Amino acid sequence: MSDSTFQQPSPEDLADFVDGDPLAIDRVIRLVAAQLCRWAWKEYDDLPRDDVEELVYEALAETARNHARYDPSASLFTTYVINLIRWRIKRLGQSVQKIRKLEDTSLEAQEKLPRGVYNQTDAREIEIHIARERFYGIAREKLQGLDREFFELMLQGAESDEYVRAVERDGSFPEPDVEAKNRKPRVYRRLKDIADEMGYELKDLMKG
Amino acid sequence: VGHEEKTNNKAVTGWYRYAARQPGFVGHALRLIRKSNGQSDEEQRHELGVDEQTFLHLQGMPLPRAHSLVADANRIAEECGLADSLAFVRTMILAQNLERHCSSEQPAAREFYQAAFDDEGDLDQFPEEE
Repeated sequence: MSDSTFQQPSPEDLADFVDGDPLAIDRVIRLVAAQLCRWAWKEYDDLPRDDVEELVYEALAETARNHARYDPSASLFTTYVINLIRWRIKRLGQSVQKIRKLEDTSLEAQEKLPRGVYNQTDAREIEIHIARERFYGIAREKLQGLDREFFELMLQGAESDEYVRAVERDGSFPEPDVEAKNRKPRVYRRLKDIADEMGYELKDLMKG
Repeated sequence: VGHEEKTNNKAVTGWYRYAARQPGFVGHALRLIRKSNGQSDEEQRHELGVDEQTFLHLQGMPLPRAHSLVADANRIAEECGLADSLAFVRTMILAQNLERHCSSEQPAAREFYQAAFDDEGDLDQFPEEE
């Protein structure tokens, strides 16, 4: 691992972070939150500052919720979070560009645009992006405990063994692999119910 | 240095505000309790014996771990300087029970029967994995 310009949490705090110790998670995030915000504001100065800040927090919350997925021996903590931020910023950047394009109603812009269905695809994609964010929020509200952890793993495209490890960490099931295999389709069906209630197609919401 | 410190404090406050609304953090659990008790923010804050700033810090803390709920809740209470740590531990136990109760209200029976008639040979096969 290379040296970082960011101040890094202590190895002890990182080990406790991975174990899900709430105090260690709090200490680690307090240490890096401002550093990462400053980095993100500078790196993405063309994007709205508040949105960038929110994405940094989103990435930190995701890292905290899935604390066991971070491997201190594989990457520096800030590098790990920065990769999550970059992925989210990329998605935000695409949405903002599309919204700006749709909002640009000047005559010149109108003339430059091809006629017909010029922005229907963009509008649909933005609609799906908004629906997806809304769905994620409601699913996180409705799913509890291990079900919510499975949902987060699904969003991250986790491998089967990560579901088994999540069940093992929970410690309530004698056969974690069997429980993981059975719980996954149950959670998927619950998500489908939630999407149905909201009038969405689950397959649109869980991709990308 | 003053400006940097201000930015640091602002970012940490912003983080706590954000985390307090997220599942997996104390603020989310406290909101569940308020909803179930019909309590206001203010009433809950007084019950826990904290000022506004401490209440924000408390809400932005990650939830205690299920396997060490009481110990973690006590440590969080101590870290945030709560006047009544026992009230917080009780609240966290209540929140955990409430979450379990919500989970048990899920349509398990329907899912069970639906699973029995799944035509998928391998339960690991999902549309998003294909």
